[in-house]
Amino acid sequence: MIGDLTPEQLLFFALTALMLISGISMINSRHPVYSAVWMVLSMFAVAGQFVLLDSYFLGVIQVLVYAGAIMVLFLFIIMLLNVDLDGSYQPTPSLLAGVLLVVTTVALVVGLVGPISDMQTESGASYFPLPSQAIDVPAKITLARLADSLFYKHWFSFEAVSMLLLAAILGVTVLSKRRLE
Amino acid sequence: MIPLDWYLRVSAMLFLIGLLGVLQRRNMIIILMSVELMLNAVNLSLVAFSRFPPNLEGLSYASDPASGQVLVFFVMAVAAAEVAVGLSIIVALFRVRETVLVDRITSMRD
Repeated sequence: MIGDLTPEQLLFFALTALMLISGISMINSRHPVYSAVWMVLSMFAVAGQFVLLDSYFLGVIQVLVYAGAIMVLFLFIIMLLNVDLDGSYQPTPSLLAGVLLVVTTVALVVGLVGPISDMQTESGASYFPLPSQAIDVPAKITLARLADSLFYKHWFSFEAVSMLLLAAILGVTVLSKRRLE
Repeated sequence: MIPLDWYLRVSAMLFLIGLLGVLQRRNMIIILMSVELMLNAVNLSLVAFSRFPPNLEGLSYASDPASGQVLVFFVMAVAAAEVAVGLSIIVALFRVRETVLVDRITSMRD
């Protein structure tokens, strides 16, 4: 059965396993630093999935922004606050969490997610065809097209996000002032 | 070839793991990391959808197939801003309460 997987599918399963296992290890670690490191591994696995989906730019940005900036910030703060072993944490999931896990896993396995990709147009062709079968639409999204879309079609969102980043910087500056009381 | 629904299932599983992290853990920093994991799962499903452009027979292809990836870009930017502000809130709270556990911050409870 493993033999008739294409290399692409094998890579997909390997990356998925890496992603999910590091995610589970992240939420179940006692020490926050271990959690952060597992998270970095999970980010790399997600970046690998992006590359497998032919979006190389987003894969690189994922590594740079998430693994390279956000997780570094997390580690800074963990070190700054000197957060120690979460000794009170018992890695046994609560009942609610267990129920959620079981219900959702069953739903996924049974295939509630599946019907999206089985949707069909009137003539019976698949609504979400594999890229090799896509009619008349260039499936590869190159960086040039991404930049076109970002700066022409979505220019307003782009400006709004840059305002948001400015607001975030100001917010962090205000929040980090020592109150003189 | 890897069909779309495989990616969607994987993304849903990753989202579920992040959700469990938010529900299970008491450490605010780990809760924030689990929220980031959920955002990553959503990014993965967005990129998967943008890779499989829909087959709109007879309809003009009006939407822009790169929009999914542009949205991922914005989600990453917003997530970075959110983490920065969230962590500064955690640090400010730590200065007052000397703890990062959500159980100990009960001043708004009865």
